[in-house]
Amino acid sequence: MKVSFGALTILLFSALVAGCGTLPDARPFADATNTLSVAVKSSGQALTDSLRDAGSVVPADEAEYEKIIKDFESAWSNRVKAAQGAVTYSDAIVDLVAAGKEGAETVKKAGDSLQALAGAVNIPLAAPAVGVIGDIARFLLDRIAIVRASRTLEEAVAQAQPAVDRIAEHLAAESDRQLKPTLKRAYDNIISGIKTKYDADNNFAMRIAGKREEARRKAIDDPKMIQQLEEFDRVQATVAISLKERDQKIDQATAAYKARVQLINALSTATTTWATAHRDLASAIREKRKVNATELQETVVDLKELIKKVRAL
Amino acid sequence: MKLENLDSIEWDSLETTADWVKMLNDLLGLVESAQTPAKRDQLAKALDDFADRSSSDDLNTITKLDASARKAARALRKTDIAASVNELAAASAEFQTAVKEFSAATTNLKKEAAVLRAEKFTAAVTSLTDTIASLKNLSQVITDEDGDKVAAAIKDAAQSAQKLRSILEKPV
Repeated sequence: MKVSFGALTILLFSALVAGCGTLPDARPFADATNTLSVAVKSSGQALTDSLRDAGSVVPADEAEYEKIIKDFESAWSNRVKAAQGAVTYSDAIVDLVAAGKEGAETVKKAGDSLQALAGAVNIPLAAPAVGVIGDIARFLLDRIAIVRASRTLEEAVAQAQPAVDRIAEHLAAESDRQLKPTLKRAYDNIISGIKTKYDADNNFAMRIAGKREEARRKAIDDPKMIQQLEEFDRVQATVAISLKERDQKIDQATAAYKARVQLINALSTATTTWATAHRDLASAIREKRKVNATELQETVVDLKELIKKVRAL
Repeated sequence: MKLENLDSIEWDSLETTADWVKMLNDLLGLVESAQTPAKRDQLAKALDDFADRSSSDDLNTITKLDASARKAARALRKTDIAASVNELAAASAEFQTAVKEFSAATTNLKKEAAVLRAEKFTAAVTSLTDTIASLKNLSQVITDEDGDKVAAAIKDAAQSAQKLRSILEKPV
């Protein structure tokens, strides 16, 4: 086969372009991170709003609910700070990619951004504590050093991945440790408070049910008991209305609690998805291809739906 | 009773009002052992279970016992320690009032027909002191961990409960 000089030139040029191609536009990753951060903030508001509503179930416990809300807001402000930290980190990486520069200064900036992210997540790096948080801090310090020692931006972002994964894991674990127990105790107290109002009716219903059964047995041999049985039915029906009202309130509180837990879980999922999107960013830089943040964007859409659901309950 | 036994309570074995009084007294007596959030949650659940399952023809007493159990359950789940101890003291006082009223009614019943197992009931009333002791011990535990201000509030609550108990113990 005969190949022309012109065709060979085009082929060679294409190969050179592929090898030294420009870095991709990483903006979709930063944009999706920003949307996630906004959703995190809105989630906190939705949760405190619904907790405040729950506080009104037992007026005597209203002050306690304000305390729970305060604790919750404090825990949530850390989460919002972490999400904002992720936005700052993402923007910084996107800017570095867009600048298209390599060298010590660029990888140092990537390392600094990772350090700032760790700080935003409330992991003290300066003097690592003991226990789990200390282990995470030491792990992150090692990673930041590796990122700073990288030779290229591509390598720096890839080396940051284990740190990003660890931070996401830490945030999800913090939700389980702090937020979920707070919600569970609030829910248990709502149910206890609802039941308190109906305990007298419930106790009455329990006793009347036993006595009704006794009257039923006797009615077979003694027709005079039928009138008493009808009386029992009438009384039982009255109490049943009250207990039905109680059960409806319990169902409503349970649905609200489940939606809140679902929202907390969705936030943990979104955080993990953000870490996955970061992995895709690292691959995109290496492969000089388009960044794909679709999964993260879809997760944020789901999150927004849940926020609506929690607010509506 | 110990915290470890909470999951194996045989609620169906409780029959008389006196049985329920004894059970609630035992549960309130565990407050001092519940020194971690997980243990407090466990005890709170048992107290709510008590209110869910208790049953007696003496509707007035059983409903008062339920109210006291639920108040103590909610207090145990509170994050504010001072508010929690105050609520526990209030729940304990309500329990004692209910027992006092029940005691008066029981004396009359006993005179008439000796319906209730008095010896069991007497044991329940005697061990009421444990509830007060629990609050005192709780205050000692918290003194080591929190500020003096909180400890002072808890001591006040314990003293109030003690005072209330003295008043309640006076002959009617």
